[in-house]
Amino acid sequence: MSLLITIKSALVVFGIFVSAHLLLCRLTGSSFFMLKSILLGFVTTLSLLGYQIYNNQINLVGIYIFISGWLLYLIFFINLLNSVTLKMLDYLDSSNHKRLCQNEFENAFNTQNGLERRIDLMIKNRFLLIQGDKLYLTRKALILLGAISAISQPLSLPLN
Amino acid sequence: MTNYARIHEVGIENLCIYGAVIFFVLFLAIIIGKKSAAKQSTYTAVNTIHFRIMLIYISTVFIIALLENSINFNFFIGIMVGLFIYLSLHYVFLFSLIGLCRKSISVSILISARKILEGGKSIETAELIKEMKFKGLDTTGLRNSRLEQMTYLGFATSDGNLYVISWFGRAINKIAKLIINVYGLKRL
Repeated sequence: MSLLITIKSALVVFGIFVSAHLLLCRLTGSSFFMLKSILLGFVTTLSLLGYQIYNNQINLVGIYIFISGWLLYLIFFINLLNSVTLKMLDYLDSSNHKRLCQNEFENAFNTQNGLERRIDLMIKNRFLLIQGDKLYLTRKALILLGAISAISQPLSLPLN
Repeated sequence: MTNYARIHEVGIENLCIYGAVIFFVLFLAIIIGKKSAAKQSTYTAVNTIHFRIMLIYISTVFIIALLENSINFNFFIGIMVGLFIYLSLHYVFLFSLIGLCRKSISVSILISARKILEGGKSIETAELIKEMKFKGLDTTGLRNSRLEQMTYLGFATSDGNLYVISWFGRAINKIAKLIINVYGLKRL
């Protein structure tokens, strides 16, 4: 398969994925956003692979273009929904004179809606387990921490 | 097109694609060897090396294509795909992983929790927030670092204490809100 046809087919599949994702989000809202997006991406990748196998034209470049496009799209949405910087930018934009002093950003990001909210979300997403007033790291959290150590050590990346 | 011409064309495309992967592996070897990610400004150090290797990659495939008399449409398609692979391997995969390790608040919370456990204490929300504060990752520290980022990205201007939104910041915020509305999503 020529490279140009590979690019075209990967872009068509990516377009179908974006349309399906948009429809899914419109119908189901923000809940389980990551899970839905990852599952839809997997199903689309498998469909693309299945299509290539059916036509006896397996092309890893096409699969790679789609997967990296899908991950880039996911990263974009993760930042759009979770970024503290964007949240503070929105707060600044909605202020009366479009200008704020440093301490006025307290309402946009404080302990209650910042760290405590994150901790609550991590409990909800089963990274932390709460029993009484004590918190425990779950198996899921330990796997994530293990993966982060495995990435950071060879790169000599300091962790915060 | 003759079989020879087709084989030659595929050869140039493969050179661009496999060349991108080989040069990315070279880049990885250099940042691991030089411990570039350990530097204070991780992103600048890593991105500078990535950019330099990219220039070497482009020059190498261009010279080979020139020597092989293969500067044609297929070569340009090949180099575009090669550049996409080289850039995406960095910005989609490696850069995101570095960002996750360095910037993610949730990951910092988990690391702090593990540190408290290793110290033989039990984890409580107040203890966790205290540990985050010790690392300069308390609410004020995080807020100030994000304000700095906002001015660095040109979203706002600052005279030290007063922050004024720029036209670019307003445009970015409008686009972000439009996308969120179109998808029917809510921010964290």
